[in-house]
Amino acid sequence: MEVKLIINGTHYKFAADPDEYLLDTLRKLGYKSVKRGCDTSSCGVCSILVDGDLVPSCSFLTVRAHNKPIITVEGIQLEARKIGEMITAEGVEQCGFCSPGHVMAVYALMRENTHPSLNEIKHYLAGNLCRCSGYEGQHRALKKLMEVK
Amino acid sequence: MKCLDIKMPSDFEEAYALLNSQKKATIIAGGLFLRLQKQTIPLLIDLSGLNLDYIKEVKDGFIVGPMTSLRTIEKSNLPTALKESVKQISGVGTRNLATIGGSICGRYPFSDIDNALMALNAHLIFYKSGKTSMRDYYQNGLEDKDILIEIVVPKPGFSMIKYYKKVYTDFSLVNVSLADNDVAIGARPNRSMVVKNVDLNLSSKIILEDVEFGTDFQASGAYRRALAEALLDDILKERKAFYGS
Repeated sequence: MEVKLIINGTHYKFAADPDEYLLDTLRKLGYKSVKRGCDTSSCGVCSILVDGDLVPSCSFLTVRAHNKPIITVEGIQLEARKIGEMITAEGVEQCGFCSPGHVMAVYALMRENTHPSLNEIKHYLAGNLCRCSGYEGQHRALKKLMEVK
Repeated sequence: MKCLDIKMPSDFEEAYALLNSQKKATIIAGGLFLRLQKQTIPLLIDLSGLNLDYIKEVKDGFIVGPMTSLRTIEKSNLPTALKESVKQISGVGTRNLATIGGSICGRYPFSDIDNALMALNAHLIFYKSGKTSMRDYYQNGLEDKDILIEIVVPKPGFSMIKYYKKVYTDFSLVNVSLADNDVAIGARPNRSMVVKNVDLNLSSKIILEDVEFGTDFQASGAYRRALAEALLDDILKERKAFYGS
């Protein structure tokens, strides 16, 4: 099925299988920031924005993204760098596999809530798992980034 | 899941005809549980084009479209039990994708949303079968294939849900909802059941004494009962504080 995709502002015509998911489509098109984690929409590693909403790309059918704007880390490099630098400054990064999805979730949170509390940050990011850090460093970094008192 | 074809109908009549065109034709809501099933579906029917993502407030309740996402429900002014029921269902991304219609039609025993809707005595409008109660549909389903087109949620005086999860965002070991004088207990681990017209001056132990709790790999029946009693106690305390007595 032919679908029109708008990925980070670039338009594509793409022949998608009816049961093809955006995770596979995006990687085929070269957006390799999008990683496959649990593949069951539980870990948040494959998070992207579709039509402004944070979604797990492993579970979003490509045909459903027809004509909707899609954003990956490649499309928000300035913001991603800022978020990434704050996180690495706290010594959080280890394997880095969860980082693209985590950065997309932080980006989505910042669009939705410019001054979240620490509890709101924890609630929003509960669906993004990291098996290295234990989250404390990430929370320290995000408190600084979002100026949580 | 493997799917051979997917169609996006432009009205209910077309959707209904597609649904009945093949035995295994299936409606896709959020598609999250469907994706995990090991089956080949010849035709998926995507209702995304029918503008079923809405919440309308009416005089004595709310009308909710079945394609409304759980995240929209979380941020809405729907009754507290329903809003709170979705808060710990996976992460925000998953809640942006999952829909209330998918949760209802799945009739999941563990579902926090179904539990809240059972207590709230919500009603469902199907395209051909018409109006049915959530309580009846949840227990018995429908005889024929049909399309959920609207959910009617009453406005209770007070409603609340409490659940216990081993980990934030996990499935509930048990969930308890109260809406006015009706208590729903779910994830027992069997389907939610309702205790109607409860005297809320009684203790939670007495209110739940006829409710059966079962044992599975996650928890024993006795543990679930103890949790449910504690959760109902918390709800009753909050209700007292709400009414100021």
